[in-house]
Amino acid sequence: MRKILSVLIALILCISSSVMVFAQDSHDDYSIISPYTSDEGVAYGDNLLISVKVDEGTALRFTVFSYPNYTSADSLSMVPAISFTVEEQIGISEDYEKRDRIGFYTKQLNDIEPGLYSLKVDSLDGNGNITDTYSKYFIVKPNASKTTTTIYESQPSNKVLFFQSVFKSLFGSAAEE
Amino acid sequence: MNRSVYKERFKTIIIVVLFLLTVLLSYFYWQGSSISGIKESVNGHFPSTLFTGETPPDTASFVAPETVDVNFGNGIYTSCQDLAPQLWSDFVDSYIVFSEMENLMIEELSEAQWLETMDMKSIQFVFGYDLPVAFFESLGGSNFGQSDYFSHVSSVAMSEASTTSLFIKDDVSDKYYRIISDSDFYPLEEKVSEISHTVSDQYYPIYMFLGTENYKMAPFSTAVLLPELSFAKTANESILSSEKELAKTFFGENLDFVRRIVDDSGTITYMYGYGEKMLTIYKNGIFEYKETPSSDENPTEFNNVFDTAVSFISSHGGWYSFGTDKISSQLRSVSSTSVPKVDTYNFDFSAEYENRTLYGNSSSQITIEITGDQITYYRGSMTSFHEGSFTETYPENTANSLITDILAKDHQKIAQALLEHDIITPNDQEMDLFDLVVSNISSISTGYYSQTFEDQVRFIPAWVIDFSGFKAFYNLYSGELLGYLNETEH
Repeated sequence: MRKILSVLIALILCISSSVMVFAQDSHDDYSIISPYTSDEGVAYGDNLLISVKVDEGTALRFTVFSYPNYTSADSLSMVPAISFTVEEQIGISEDYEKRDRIGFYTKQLNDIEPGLYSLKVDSLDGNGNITDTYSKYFIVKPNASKTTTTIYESQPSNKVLFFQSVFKSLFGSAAEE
Repeated sequence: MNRSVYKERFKTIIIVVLFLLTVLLSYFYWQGSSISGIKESVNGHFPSTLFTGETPPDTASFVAPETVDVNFGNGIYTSCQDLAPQLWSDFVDSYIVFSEMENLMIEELSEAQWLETMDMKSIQFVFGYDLPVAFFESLGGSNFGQSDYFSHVSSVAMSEASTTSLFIKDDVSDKYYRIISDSDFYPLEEKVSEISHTVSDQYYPIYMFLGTENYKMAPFSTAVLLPELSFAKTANESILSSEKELAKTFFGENLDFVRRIVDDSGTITYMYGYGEKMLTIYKNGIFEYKETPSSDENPTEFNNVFDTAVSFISSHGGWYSFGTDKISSQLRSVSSTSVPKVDTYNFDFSAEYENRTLYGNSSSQITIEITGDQITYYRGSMTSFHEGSFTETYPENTANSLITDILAKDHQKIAQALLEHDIITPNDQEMDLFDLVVSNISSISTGYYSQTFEDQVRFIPAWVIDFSGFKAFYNLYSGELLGYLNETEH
């Protein structure tokens, strides 16, 4: 019983001390880190970051598409199928050549309009032929407006302590005289 | 009759006065002080630390934030290094107005409130060290707070969460505050808009481009084009010819009761008495001054201690002489320790090019330690550079290397270096090495790494990847490793 308990404790310690690797869209030879999306598949902001961690010996081709037929929705599950049928390529399609170590494909796309997008990842063989294709769909929305958030009340809470006014009332008038 | 008695009495008084003066002068002579030193010693501080005609620089000019972190409020972040001094100077102007306002109030914030505040449109000045509150207050000419609430200022910020408030982070006590005024005092909108037009590098939380848990903001690339800097060195022989002049600033004009020792390696040591004061000048121009602590006076006033540090450096070897006004000195670290009764302060100053630190060359670092009211350690450099020899060379290939590539390529090498310097422990290696390295990153910035040659010093533009004081330097353009610097051993 003790043994089981100590193994369990060791296991819990190992899990809690290890570094958390963020939820990634992982595949056999690569992991899509960004676009970093919410559970509903939404990425915020007008600049789009693409970051893909690629294993050694893997060659990939990256292409980004937009879908003009997109009708606004708060999550991918609410996007009608028709939205995925008409796609427009954004920018150029870029190849990541295979390396003898892990590597990253990183790209920043600026001035992205809100809408439905996809990152298409083609796996390439030694001759540059596509052997597998995967598309990550996501919705780009303007950054959640935080200006409406009220963090501080106009009247400070009673935790607030007056100090300068107290100093001034005690010493200010005497000093001025 | 009466007249001759008065005459004799007058003579006696004169003789007594002359005798006392002789005793006094003999005392100062024995102490090795110069005449000007005697004048100063009346004020009670550092007989050998007098100014030699040069006006000491304004202490406030040495204090500028390491970075200015900006949240544009639309999910876009950046951090400015080269704009930091100007933005800071503008802030200080606003702060002066702010500190003179009536009815200022203070409120302690939770960490969640602070994070939420910084998650909105905001500008945060990050010092990289903990500035004692007394000095921060002195910038505004006010003494509100007076450490009843916080003792240090590690970051100061403005946010659209409350445009009438000044936000303060104290890393020493790990607390957050806002000081509330009646009206807006800082043109936040205007400054954020100004920065958006001049700074193009976007910062992301590290996990968003490297995939490992690390919430620090960093860039994965930079559009900033930094030139390589080079300086022609003055020959070592010429440096050492002025060593006697330097020694005089510490031990007085006549160097009385001071022994000069030269060892086989060419290191020169000046020793006063039985080693109560020692000056060591190394062949490369670096010098160290040590004084046996004897002071039990505790000035406690940080501003006085900092004034003393700046004044002492100004009159003993002085600030960097790179032969160009593009290099300035900045305070880059403050630390203090309290032993019973006496406080010890340590200050590190570094040379900066457009607010980017010149690392790796010991001649660009000034360190001074003050115990009580006494200088107990001082390290500076006599290395100087030929006037007009300063050159800035911009690269032909303007493509900057990517942080993601550097870490993918060299994470094993970095992990090995971190292990050797005890930044990580062997147990940590059970984790994936890449995740281990990335999770330990405390900041990513740009700076310069020095390479010393026979007749010149070159400063190479570099990525500076910081692991809580252990720094790895990578060529900004080629992405090649330049070297490491372990500041945790300091």
